[in-house]
Amino acid sequence: MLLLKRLSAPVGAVVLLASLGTDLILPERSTLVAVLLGVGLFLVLLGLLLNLKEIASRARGRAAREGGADLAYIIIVAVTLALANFLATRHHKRIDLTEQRNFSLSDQTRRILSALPREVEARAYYYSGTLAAQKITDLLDEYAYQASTPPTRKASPTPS
Amino acid sequence: MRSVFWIARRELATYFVSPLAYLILAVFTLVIGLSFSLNLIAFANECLVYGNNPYYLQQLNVNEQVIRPLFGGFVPVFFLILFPAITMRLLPEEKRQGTSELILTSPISSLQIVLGKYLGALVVSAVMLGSSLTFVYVLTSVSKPEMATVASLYLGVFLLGAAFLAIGLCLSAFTENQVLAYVLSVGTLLVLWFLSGVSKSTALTDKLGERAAAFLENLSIIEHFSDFSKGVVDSQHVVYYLSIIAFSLFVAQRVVDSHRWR
Repeated sequence: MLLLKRLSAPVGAVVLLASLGTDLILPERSTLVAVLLGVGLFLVLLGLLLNLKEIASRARGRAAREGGADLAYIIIVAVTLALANFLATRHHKRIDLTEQRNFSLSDQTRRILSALPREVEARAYYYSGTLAAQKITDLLDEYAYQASTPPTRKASPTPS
Repeated sequence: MRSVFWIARRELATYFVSPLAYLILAVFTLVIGLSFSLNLIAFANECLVYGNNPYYLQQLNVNEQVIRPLFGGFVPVFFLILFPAITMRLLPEEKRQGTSELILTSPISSLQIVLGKYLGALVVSAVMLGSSLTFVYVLTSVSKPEMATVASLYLGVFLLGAAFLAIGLCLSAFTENQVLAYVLSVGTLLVLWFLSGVSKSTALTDKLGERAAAFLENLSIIEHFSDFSKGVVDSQHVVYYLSIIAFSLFVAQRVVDSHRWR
């Protein structure tokens, strides 16, 4: 019990970091990332619950302890918000408010983009600073946003 | 909650009694008005030149050519320079005047102090944004802008400004020097801004890898704004800005609270 009380939060934090690292290095292992995320969160919360009294007493202690507790709180809030953002990026809702749905791709285009077998390089030739340039950049952004493997963009040298 | 409103009201009174708020409002309205006029004249000229060609006429879009360059490109830069000037005095001023002891020993919690001061600054920024609605009104009298897109832009600009203010308030809690608070805020905002550029640098992408570059891009404060400027509202961007605000205010609250036991 004592071991669990002492180690659950730090081990949980390490597991959370491992889940983030796995997601960065091996994005295709989504199940592993989800499992690590769940286990890490559980351990951190368990550690917090088991150490609730200690955290509270430290908060009433001397300045150094107060500072340590503050730092711990800040780290916990930062990790929680990072996870919230991680989830918000994975499961998000996108609403195109333009009248002609200028930034919404057709279902067919979406299907093609999500089924791209490999990375695609998109090359566009345009005069920079024009309305056409803006439209092309926006369209490529939408493609990158929807594609399973975002296309590489190459800016072409443009005469001014 | 009542204390929060009282502190916010006091802050607002301080802003509007001194010339600071009026000066900021005047500069903002003047510069944005000038930029708006130039964009509108350029758009009107294009309408005159291409008005007879149905294809080109169809391509012209007042939202894309007048409103988006103004709020999407110019206003955020303006906020980056002006908002740290609003937040730099929020907490250091109390220390300079010696009123911080009075506030800290009062029965008001540090969270209420931070929220009250933040709310005061937020109202000033809302007044600034509200003044720019005049230009949208002028535009509606000569053209037909898409109001839903304009609303999305305003939401984005408001969230971006709110995040700037929260970061500025947070950093002002660390120092008693207003100039230092301003420099720290502008520096931090610039770093958060240019993370987007760093992530797009080919050399760095090769070195860090695509995933790390994408991570840096996600951290960039301006990258989350571009969708709003187009008229697209994405929940992930809203969550990002709310997270930045919540984290900055939380850190500010802890720092202010630490003065009680220091």
